[in-house]
Amino acid sequence: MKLIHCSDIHLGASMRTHLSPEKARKRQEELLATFSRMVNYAITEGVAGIIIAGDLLDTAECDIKTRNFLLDTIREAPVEVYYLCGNHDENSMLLSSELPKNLHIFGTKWTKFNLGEVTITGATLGTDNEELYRSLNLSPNAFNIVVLHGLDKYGSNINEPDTVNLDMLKNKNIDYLALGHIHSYREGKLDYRATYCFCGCLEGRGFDECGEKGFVLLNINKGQFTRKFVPFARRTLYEVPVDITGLRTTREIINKISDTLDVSPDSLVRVVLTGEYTVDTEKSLSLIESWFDTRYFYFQVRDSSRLQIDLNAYRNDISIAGEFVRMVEESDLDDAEKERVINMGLNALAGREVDV
Amino acid sequence: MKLLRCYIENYGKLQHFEYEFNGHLNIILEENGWGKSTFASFIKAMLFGLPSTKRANLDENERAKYTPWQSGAFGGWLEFEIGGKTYRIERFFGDKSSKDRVTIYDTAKNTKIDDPTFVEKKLGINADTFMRSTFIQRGASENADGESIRERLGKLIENNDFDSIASIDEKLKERQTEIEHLRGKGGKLNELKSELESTLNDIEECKTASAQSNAINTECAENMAKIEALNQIIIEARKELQAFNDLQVQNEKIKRYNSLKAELDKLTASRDELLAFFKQSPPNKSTMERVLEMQTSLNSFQSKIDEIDSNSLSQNIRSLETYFENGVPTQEEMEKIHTLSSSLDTLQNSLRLTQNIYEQTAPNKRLKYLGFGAFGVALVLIIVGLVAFLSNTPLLITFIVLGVIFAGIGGFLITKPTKKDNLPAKITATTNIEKSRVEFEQNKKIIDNFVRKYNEDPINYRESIFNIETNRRRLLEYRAELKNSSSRKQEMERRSQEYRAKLNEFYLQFFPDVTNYSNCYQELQARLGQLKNVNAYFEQKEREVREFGAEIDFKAQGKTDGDVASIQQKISDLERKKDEIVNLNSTLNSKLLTASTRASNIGSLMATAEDLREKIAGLEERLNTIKLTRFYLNSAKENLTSRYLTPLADAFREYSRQLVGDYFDKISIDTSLNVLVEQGGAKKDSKFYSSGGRDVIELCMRLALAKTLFNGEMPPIIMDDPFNNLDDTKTQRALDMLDKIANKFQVIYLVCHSSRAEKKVK
Repeated sequence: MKLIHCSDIHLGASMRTHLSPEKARKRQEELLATFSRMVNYAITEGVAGIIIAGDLLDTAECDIKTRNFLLDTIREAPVEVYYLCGNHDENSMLLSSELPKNLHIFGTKWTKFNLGEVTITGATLGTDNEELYRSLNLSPNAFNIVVLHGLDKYGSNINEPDTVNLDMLKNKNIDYLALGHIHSYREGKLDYRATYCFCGCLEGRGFDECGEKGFVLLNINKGQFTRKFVPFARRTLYEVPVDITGLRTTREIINKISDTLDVSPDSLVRVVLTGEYTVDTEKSLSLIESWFDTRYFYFQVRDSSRLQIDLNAYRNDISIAGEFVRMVEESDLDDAEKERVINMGLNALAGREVDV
Repeated sequence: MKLLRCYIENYGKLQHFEYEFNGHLNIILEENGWGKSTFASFIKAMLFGLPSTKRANLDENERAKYTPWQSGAFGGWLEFEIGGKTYRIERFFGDKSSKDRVTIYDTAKNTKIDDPTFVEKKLGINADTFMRSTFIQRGASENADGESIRERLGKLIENNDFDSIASIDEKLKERQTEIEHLRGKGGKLNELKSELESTLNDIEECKTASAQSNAINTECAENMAKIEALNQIIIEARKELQAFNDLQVQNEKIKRYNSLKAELDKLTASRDELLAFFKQSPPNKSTMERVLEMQTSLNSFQSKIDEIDSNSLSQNIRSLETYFENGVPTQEEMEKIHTLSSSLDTLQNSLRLTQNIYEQTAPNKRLKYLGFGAFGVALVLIIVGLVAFLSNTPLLITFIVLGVIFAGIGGFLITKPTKKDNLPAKITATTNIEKSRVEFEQNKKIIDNFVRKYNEDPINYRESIFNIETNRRRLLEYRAELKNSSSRKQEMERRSQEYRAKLNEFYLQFFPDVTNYSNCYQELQARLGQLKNVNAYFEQKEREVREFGAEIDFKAQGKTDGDVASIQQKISDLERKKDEIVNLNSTLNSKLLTASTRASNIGSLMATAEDLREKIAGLEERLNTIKLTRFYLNSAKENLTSRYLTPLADAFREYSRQLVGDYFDKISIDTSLNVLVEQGGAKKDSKFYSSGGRDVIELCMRLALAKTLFNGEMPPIIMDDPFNNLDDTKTQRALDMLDKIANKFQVIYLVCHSSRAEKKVK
């Protein structure tokens, strides 16, 4: 029997990557389309059930059209869907509508659903979870999947909101602990029997969600199971550092970025300039962004490079530049300010244009 | 500071060149192309190193310019004295600064100094300042780049003149104004802030819409819960209604069950009745077959007894005895007759055969006819021959000869005996025929007499003999049978009696009296058939009743239907109530659609706000940087001016007085390092002077700068032929001045023409 474990889909959420309103809207639609594609994948691959481990909707930002499309997609699919409310599903839009027969929702107490040889048990955690953990009672003879939403922690963090205490779930006859909340794939061993797994989100939304995104495909057969992460996102976000040390012109920086980037044109790319530059370096961030803007779905450049300046060279320099550098260095400005001021001052003294 | 000696391993065109400096004026008089500028550059490179740059212009890239023409290590060493101590600095250069090697020794202690910036620190200047002050190159009037004196003087201190600070400040101010107008609310920053404010207002509206959306959503969710609760109640009510419906169905089923049960009872009665007839033990199939067999045998016996009794056998015997009224032929007689009949056939055949033989022994008539023919021809020929002979026709004698020949042939043919024409055989055959005919006649007569005895046809004597034979056999059989029939009849009567007793006993089990076995048998068979059918139907019906009975809730029997209408009314009320909530939710959903659509913009608006905040922060940071840059640049200019300008002017006057008397006494130096000379109440810029005058001003300015900038250790003044534009008088004065300076500072004077060294040499 095949099952899909997905989570943190955040349907309706805005795409906070400085996108234009048109592209942001397109990404929102792509998010919904990717969910729909996943359901089609489930049908094609003969998947019996889809487990959503929280945050299906981004309720605060989800509109009713998105909700209705979602429910119609589930309703039309010959697949059972098991949905756990996450922290973003509070006051879920789903609860105000007529739900499809194949959509099963976990409650705030342990809720069990049987699907063939598999028992799927889940509960939405609150702020008083101790009793909930204690009351988890699973048959040792069944294949048990437990679904929870929260950050994995050990120790005494039992009642922290949005926290799954792994210590409390040990030796409970769990076979697979399907978790949601963290937006990147991660797995680990819970006890002698169980594996816990965060499947990550389905599509990255911002540059804090870079890399491959998708879901976990479980294949269960007579108490044994295999799992594999299936990359499924329509687009991938990348944050790529590019060392510009030794480069002198914007053109050279563009060439270095071009040589460094090896990603699909569909991608969303953030390039972070690193390394050191000198006051002689010509570096126009706006020109770099303009150059790559049409080459990727979205391109952004961030400058973390540092000004390379030999303060000793100015220490004994009897000149305006020397005097200027010495004064700035002796000021109580913070280091970043000092660097910016020295860079601008020396560039201005060198007769270069100061960019706003 | 004083240079002591140096050694050039390789530097530009110079190689393996050693030079020892004196502590005062060192004049190096060499012709053009010797490498004086290279030497000057070497001293600077030893003190401060070579800058690393990628510039292609060789004048801006000393490392490239002075890379040795020949192979070998690029660099050398220099010994110098600072603060009473002597040091030796060794520098060798790579193609970039990271490959440079520098070693500094304290020669007195013979220890290494691990600080490549040792010289800079000791002198308090860097390479650029050294270049702009005590490193004095060729005269200003021959400047290849045509820079003005003011510009060159300006560059003594900075690449940009003081005027450019104002220009830079102005440009920065423009950038600042672009970001934020000095007055009013213009500028990019304020535009972004306005946009942010507007976006924040929109976000607030969205939040309000979101709150509404949430409230409506909550109400909808509550209504959905109510609908669900109502659905549960309706389901229960429908179950109740269904229970009533089920009751009716159960009652119908019970009726049907009872009907089936009645049919079964009826069948049971029929079966019991039949079983009673059969005394609970109906005869089986073999019994009935045996009974039928006995009945059939009984009938057969009766028929045969009747046949015996009917006397038909005696009649047959009498009839046959009449046929044989002349006596029944004995077996021997019949055999004899059969023998005679057979011999008659043999004789007949023998006669026919003998006749054939006789006929075959007759002469060959055809040959005889040919013989007669030949005689005839011979006669004709002879007659014709004779006639011809008589008529003297000798040739015709031939006819006579031929006639004789034909006559001979004819005689032969007529008289020729044949094989068949065998007389003894003919005689024998004739005898045999006669003999057989006599015998045949005798036998035939006997047979005729025998046949006629029983009135049979003698002609067809064979058929007649067969009839006689058949009748004789039948008569004998009838007579034998007549003899046996009496004993058989007795046996059959005995067995008939036995069968009847058994049959009576059997039938009397079921019938009060037995008159006709066949009728009894048929009656019995009919009843057995009925019993079989009843049994089969009974089993089917019994199963039907059992199975149907299992489906029936007999508890429902007797219950009433209850108040169906009341339940239906209840369901109807609940449905109406549910519809009201559904309708309410439908209205709420319309509102929810509007509110959630509006609220759904909050994400993109927040993203926009975040983006704007980031841009504003960036611009504010940029604005702050511009402001700070302007502040520090202007402060640097003021500091530099106040620290160096007045002492610089005093020193300039001191040196110019030595060179040209009081000619440049009334000078002033502005903040842009312009040297302004007051003449006739007006201040004249140095650019109005001749190239010689400008060189004087530059030389004095350099020396003034050196004096002003170096309060402690003074680096050596390196002069690369700076007086080539001066006239003889000024050159002499310059050389005199150089002499005086050399008393105080070490001077290295590089010159290519003896005229600018001679006087001093003299």
